Amino acid sequence: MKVYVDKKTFMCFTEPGEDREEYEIPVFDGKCKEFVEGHRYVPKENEWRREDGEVFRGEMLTYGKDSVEVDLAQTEYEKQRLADAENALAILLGGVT
Amino acid sequence: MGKGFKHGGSGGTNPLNFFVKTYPAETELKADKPKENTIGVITTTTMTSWGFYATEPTVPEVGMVWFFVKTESVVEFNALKKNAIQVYPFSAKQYVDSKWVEVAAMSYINGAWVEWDTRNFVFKSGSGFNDTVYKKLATNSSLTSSNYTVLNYSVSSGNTTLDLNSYANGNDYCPVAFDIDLSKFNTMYIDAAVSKSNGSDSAFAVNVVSEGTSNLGSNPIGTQLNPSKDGVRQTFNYNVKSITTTKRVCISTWNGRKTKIYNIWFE
Repeated sequence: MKVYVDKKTFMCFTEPGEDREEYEIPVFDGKCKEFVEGHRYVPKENEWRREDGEVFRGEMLTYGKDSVEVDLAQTEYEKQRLADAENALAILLGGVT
Repeated sequence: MGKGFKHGGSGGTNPLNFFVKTYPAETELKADKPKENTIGVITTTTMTSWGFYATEPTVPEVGMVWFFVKTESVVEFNALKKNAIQVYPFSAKQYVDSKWVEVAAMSYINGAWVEWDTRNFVFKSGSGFNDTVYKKLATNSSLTSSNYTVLNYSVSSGNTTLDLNSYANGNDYCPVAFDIDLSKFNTMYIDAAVSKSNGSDSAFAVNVVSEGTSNLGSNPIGTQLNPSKDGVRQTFNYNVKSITTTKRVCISTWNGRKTKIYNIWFE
């Protein structure tokens, strides 16, 4: 999946924007917007400094927002997708004569 | 019995309130009852000198022991017999083969040895796995990946290293995994020597997946490493500050690569 990474914060976005660089990150395939934008991706040969001063070198992909909230958003997204698929199947089967 | 370094050499009055001794193994150190305020360093390399520094010494000599100091310590002490200079030791390294290597250090205080190192180890070189830190270590038979065959890791003699040795076949996958409450920690550290294979860069991966999951291929959220120094021991760190729950941490290698892990800890 194509994501857009802020060059300073390394936070991920689903839309292009100013100071964002495009990357292909397969692990985000099938993931919702809130899940993707809850992560930080530090590419190889890059460094990110956390607010307490600790430095992390890429390549690193970790949660950038509270993991419980990020995971919950993905869970809800998958539940909705399943419900939509079941509804579509019900409609399809209901139309068979 | 350990070998000691006494400031001031022969003659005169020693102004220091402590001693420094080396021991070849933890068993020898623990068996010794030295003078109060003795710092014991566990090493088989001759200690040529020692010093307390807040930053890496710029002109090290072979065998030198660097006592890294911070602004607080579980073994803080007054270094002088008269007056006071408070010292806050945190960790120790020795200059061996042109690089600094971590060595264990303890202080003999009130008739007992006190460890300097308060890091939360999941695996510690010389001690092995520490099941007081993680909730459960997954057995390899319970781990799967949709495209790979799971192999066994091994622990070297004396619990020195945790060895992930995968076969050359690209479908052989060698993981170790443990469940841990990451809400208490900000950073994960892995001290390891990582070897490339088949001309490929990346040599091992760290994945963080749902607690208790047996399918490592399920919703993996993790870090992919491309080590900068093939076969050289180095420390890697990962930000886990935003992870506020228990997760399963998986460390794996594949396709003929070998990863020798010395320590895994959290702060």
